Amino acid sequence: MSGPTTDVLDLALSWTAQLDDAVSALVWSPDGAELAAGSLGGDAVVLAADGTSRHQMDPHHDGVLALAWSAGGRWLAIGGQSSAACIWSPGAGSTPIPVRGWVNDLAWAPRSDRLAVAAGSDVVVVRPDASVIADYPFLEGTVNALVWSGGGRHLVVGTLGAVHWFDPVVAGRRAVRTAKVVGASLSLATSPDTALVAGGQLNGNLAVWDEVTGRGPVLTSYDGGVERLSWRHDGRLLAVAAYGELDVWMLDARGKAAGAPISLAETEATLGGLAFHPTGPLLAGGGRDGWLQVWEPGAAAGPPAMLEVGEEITTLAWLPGTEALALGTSSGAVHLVTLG
Amino acid sequence: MVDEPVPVTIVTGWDARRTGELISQLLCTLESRRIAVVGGRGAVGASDPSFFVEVEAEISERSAGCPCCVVRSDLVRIVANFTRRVRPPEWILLEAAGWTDPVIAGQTFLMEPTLAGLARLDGIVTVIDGPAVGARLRAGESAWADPIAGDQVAVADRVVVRGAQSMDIEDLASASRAASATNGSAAVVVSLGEEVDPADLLCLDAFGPSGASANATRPQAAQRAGGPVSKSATHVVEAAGVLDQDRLEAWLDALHESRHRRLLRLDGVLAIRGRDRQIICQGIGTSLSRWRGRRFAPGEPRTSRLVVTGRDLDADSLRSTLDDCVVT
Repeated sequence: MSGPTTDVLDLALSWTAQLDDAVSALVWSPDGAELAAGSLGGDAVVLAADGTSRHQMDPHHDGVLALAWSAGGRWLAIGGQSSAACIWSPGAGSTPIPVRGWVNDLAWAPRSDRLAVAAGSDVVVVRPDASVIADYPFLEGTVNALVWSGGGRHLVVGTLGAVHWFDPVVAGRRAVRTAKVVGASLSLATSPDTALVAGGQLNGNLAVWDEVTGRGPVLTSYDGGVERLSWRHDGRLLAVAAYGELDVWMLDARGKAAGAPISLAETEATLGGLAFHPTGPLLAGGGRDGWLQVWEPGAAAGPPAMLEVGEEITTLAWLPGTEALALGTSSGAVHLVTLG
Repeated sequence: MVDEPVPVTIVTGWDARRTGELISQLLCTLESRRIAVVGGRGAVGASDPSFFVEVEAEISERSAGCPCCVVRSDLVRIVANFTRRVRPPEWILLEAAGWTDPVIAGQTFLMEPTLAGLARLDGIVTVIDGPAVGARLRAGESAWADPIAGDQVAVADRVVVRGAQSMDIEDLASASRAASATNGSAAVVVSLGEEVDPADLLCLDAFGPSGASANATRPQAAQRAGGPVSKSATHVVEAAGVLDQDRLEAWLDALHESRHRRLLRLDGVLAIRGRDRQIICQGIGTSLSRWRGRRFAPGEPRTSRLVVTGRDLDADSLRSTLDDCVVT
């Protein structure tokens, strides 16, 4: 990213917590009362909104890669490189989920207690007690991303050469739709109304598919893998972090692009964290250069608000209902940053 | 976060038990170092359990579309995660045993920009089960149990013959000759029992401009094995005089694009018309990198030399078609 510029918003550090290694995942509980944090060293903790430690979970020895709160915030799913995943709650403790392979992604279905786990080339859908609802073993390759679409009816799975739509409740192991892609799928994001699914591939392709038909255009091909995607709350803007680039696409309700994207930044590598505010217009991004930037894409705003963290930003997450966000760094620091 | 790219060695071989043995012994010898292992299911772990990731290799068939796009996203993420640790590993051993294609694993490191600055491919070490190869040759069979096994030998920088202590000298010699016949560039290391010297297998610096230049100019082992050895082989292709750039590009494209053969690896030092420096090139699978090499000395003959490794390549055709690229 470019160097510091004039701030249009004030950014200030509120508190800092420390994990044992580079922060790999940060997720706020739906009510914003708790922040789950995981590290590549294996730390898995739940912090209060003021940064104090509430729960220290059993470490995941090979590193935590994914965390996900259930819709009501009752359960927290944890998965990592140790080929282990579990569902945790303060009362029940940890319940292991039967998986093979390292866990790349986790996603709870909206408005239900179904959890999807991507483990190696398998996907398993479980209940909070870890009993299996459906499993999809030996897909074409590693499953790097999964999301729920269609209001939680369909599980969308990105793997090598394909993106599959599964209906775990009624369709068994058969994919109800498949979109062919070139190479490995890296990222998936469902639009806020769950009618569109954006997907990024390792070869740089970016596509937006219609949830109902599974069809949609390849919007463009970037020079490197499309690692991160984030929709604005109204579904009109899609932020895309590919290797060396950060763009925002303006899309209509059917996923059709209204012209070329807005280029927000040229980045040193792929951003470690990228997220639109869940209810507002702001977009936050941070990466290897150690700068947190906050834009308001689509507005006639000036340069982004910037904060130098001084080390690689590995992930970030907005605190619901506020203009504050948590960010994790390569040294294991978790910072809460507030916008003035 | 790493200051220098972490070196990666691909340890490949048809017999997963033999590759596992070698990795275990390397870890034992280097027990005080932070060595990470990325292995297939059932693979041996690293000395530090936090540096071991068991992964089922992504399917490396070319069915996913354009072959140039086939890199392993699992490796990209695992290796990137290792290098982001507060105390990253000093070395990464990537096990690519059995059906796992070392070419796809190798080109992942050369093609994927995400890994630039984080990891570098140091070399490919292929382990062969000496007694099994000896028995196959004695029975008049191909040295390698499968074309993939032949490819694994053909792309190697080092071929390690395991189980030598239980072989008679004739079998050992024929297994070693088979390895050299398939890959005249690689040094063959005979491993007796528990002995393994990491210096023979690590710090090879085989990828990058210096490695490519050394590989392209190294004398080749005599290709003297008779009978069926492998469809995969290493060929030296030389041309005297400067090459026409456009014709060379067409030659390289044709080498990559054939459906009837498979290019595995290429190392070359080229003399191109209008260039006062050598051009060094290196490829694995469908990747191809080029660098500017040293300046030609005054009066130095302009010659090009490529070491081309592949399956079902026609050496005579390669030579004659490269000759057609020479500016007359």
